[in-house]
Amino acid sequence: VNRVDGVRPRLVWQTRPIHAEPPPEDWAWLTEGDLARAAAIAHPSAMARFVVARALLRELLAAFRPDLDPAALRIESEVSGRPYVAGESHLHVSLSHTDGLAAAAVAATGPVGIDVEHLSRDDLPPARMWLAPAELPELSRLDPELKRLALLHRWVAKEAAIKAHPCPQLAERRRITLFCQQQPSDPPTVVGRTDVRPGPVEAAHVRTRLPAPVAESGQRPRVADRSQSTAEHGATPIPSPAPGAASAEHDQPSASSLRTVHGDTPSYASWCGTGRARLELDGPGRPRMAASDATSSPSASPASSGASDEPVVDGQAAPAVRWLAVDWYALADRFLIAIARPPDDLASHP
Amino acid sequence: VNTEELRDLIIEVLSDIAPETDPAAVDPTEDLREELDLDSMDELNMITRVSERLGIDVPEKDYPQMRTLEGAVAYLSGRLAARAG
Repeated sequence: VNRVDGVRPRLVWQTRPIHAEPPPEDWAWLTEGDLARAAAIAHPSAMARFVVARALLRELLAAFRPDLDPAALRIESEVSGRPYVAGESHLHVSLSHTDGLAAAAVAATGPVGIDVEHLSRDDLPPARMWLAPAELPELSRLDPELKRLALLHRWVAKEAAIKAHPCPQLAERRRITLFCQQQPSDPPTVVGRTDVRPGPVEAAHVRTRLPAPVAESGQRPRVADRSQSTAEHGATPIPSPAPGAASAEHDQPSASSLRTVHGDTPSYASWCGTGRARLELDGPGRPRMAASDATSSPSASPASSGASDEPVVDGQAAPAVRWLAVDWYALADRFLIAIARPPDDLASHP
Repeated sequence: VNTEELRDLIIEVLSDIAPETDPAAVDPTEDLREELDLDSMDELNMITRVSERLGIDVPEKDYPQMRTLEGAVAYLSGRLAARAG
């Protein structure tokens, strides 16, 4: 992760290929505790996935917080399966995997969610099973292939949003409404192409979201440069359009720097859209959610990350609404990644 | 529909979704997602097809009850009994 003067990244994400047998450099990241857990996994493919995901997460944590000893961090799972770093409630992590690729995100701004799928995936469940009512009409106009892609974008975005939900096991897909600022059916836009080389896809990218200069002023430790390649910087903060607004700002991909972490990683990541997800949270369920989650993860309080309180009607709280920012990236025309995070405007004004 | 038929239906649907696996050999108390390497898309496809075949609507909040074969059979039995009664 690149050093940026005066600011530190708020969110980093990275991918790592999953092979049948993880390479030695992946094993090298694992702690004694990780190794014991890996040894207990019966299925070889599940074990390989665990090893790669754990190595990826530890590498990312080391890059994000070089002041912490990655081997001393204990990574645990909530009841919902969401990973967290024990004793580091300010660090939010998320993991995803699909055949051949693991993806991880680390954020300091609030619960983050990442999800990865193959772009070719065509076995999506029927839209009525998982789209919010407001989402259905706009998809009906698309031809079949565009519709498949648009649905796939919405699927990964919802999966990411669920992971960034205060209580993932209570999240309902049909109560998550996505508002896309760039239509997901638009062709992806390459925002950074780094180190394109022939060979199999070994995508390993870090994309750093730069906070607004006013948000943090360098009082915290800077992030050391662990990358082997040069960085590109964007300087435009991500726009926060009104929910539902559609625009096609293909050439304004957001404040970002995109670089490879491993010098030998071919291919590229493309930013291919941004949007907002509106999550409905059950009013009556919220206190229960906060209480049950507090023991497993101090980070899961909805109040800490952008939840807005709704008025109480007839003695019963109406559903609370929470907004998340969503970004989509395509990796090497093979994988689609969605990242859900607290919107910048909320994150910088807690 | 008795519990045996429900079990067979779920296994038939799972065999179609994860053709490289043997759902009939799965421990009925174990998490199907881990045993059969299902992801969330597979899981929702399974719920969609089973609920369509039975003509019932499974609310999202009930999905966790269908994470094991035993749990799914019990849940669906209950739903069908409630409909019949």
